[in-house]
Amino acid sequence: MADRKNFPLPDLTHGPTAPLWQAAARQEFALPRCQSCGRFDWYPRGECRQCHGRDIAWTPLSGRATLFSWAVVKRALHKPLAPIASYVSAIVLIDEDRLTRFVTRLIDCDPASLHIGMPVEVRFADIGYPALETGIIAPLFAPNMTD
Amino acid sequence: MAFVAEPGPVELESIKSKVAIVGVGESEHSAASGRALDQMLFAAIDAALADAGLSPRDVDGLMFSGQSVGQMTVARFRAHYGLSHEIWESGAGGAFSFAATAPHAAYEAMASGKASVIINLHGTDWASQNAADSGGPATAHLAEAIKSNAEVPFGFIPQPVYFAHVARRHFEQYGTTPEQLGAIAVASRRHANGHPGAVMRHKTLSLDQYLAREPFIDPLRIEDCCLISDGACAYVMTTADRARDFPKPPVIVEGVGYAGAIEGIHFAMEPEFASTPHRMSAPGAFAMAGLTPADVDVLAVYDPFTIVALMAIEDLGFCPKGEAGRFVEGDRLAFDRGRAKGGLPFNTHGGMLSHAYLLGINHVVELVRQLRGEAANQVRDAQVAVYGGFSGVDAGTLVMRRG
Repeated sequence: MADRKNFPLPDLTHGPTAPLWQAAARQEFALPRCQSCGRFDWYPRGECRQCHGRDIAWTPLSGRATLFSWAVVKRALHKPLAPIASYVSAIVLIDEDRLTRFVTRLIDCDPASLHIGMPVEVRFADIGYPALETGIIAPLFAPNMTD
Repeated sequence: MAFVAEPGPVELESIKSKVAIVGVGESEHSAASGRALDQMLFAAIDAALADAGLSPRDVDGLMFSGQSVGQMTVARFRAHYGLSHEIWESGAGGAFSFAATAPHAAYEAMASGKASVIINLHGTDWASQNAADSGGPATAHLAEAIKSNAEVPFGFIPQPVYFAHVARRHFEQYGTTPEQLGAIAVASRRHANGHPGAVMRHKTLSLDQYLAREPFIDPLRIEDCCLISDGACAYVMTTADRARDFPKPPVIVEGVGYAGAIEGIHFAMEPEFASTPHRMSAPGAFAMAGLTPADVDVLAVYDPFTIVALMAIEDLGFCPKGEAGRFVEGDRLAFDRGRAKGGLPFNTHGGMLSHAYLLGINHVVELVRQLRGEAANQVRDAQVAVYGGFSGVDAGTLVMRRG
């Protein structure tokens, strides 16, 4: 087992982001959403970017998205990430609102097969997948083979 | 005027033809050297003062980055030179976008009688810090709460990873190619090869060599990324009406612009993902100067990555948005082609890609030398120069003219 002591884990007491990780632990992908207009508040500002409403609630999502952009990180410059390299860093657009981007990592994919706009789907896996077991479940994504 | 990265462009009072740059200086630039930051900063200050024909006792203003660690204090400056006189100081200077906006903040101090001879400076020992694993460019990003909890655990860190995503989008939206990014790397290296102070002065780079390297953060190659080096730069400002009293031809500040990104340090969320805040900063600077990109003889842009330099060229208005890839092909950016032959002399010292990691203040130093006619890669009859400063969260534009 590779060294997991230094792998960058989220702080589960950090209020604005902790519900993301709590949801993932329940096998749910959730983001904060304005209850007035439906726009997502990601990253959390606590005030809707569209209507300035403050009634924002974490909302479970389908976990379906499309690929906005990606990078194949063959060498991790941030050394604590070295155990998972080579990996595919990605930004996806969630199906519920194509203006909302989510930073994630693509797993179980051939980098050569990727293209912008392709459908991807959430996969709940350890944040250190496949190299490390950290005990933290994360909303990672993979190409959606069913579409 | 406070230069804080609020979203969008900032309205600036005109300082056209009010401020002159009358001295420039730099330390030696190198890989990890173990040199103390102060040693490099004072070497740059000494050189800038000598260039301006001044002594330390003539200095009554200091500008540096208040956000970067260890840049300068009045107490250190006084102690180093054995001085006791009143010195105005401002943390609104340094490099990045602030190497462009420092003359604006300096003018406010000059106009209100707080200072008349102001040094702006910046140094970095990030090569030594990186080697010692004690800091470096990712430090602020790792410390930001949203990023450390919602980006870093997914591997979205550090800057080359962000800009690999940006490059991929630019490729998709505009048809930009790796060869076109390579044209920027190659032009920058050629300029560094002709510049005696450049870190990469002895290492050549051809487009074939560039393409032969496998991307390491695909689609970026090592040569798409700037150097991390140790060194310092400084420039001396005074009022334009005093500029003739100095030994070198003066360089007059004609326009300054500034704008903040919409989502700040959260680059992944920036609505115009394959763009830079240059697009919001440049129009104000050109309007203040009464000039357009067509009037510019030599351009220097903050170039942490080839893709950022490429976007800066289009966002500053040197070609339509999305066309910079085709624009930079061939020898378009070479110092010796020139505007008259359809060129755009660009980062004629080699930029951060190949000259030194001085975060753009080295670009201003180079442009001043160009306008004086004393540059290593001299652009023929350079009259107007533009620096496009950037920090990711903001952009600053500086338009200068030969006095």
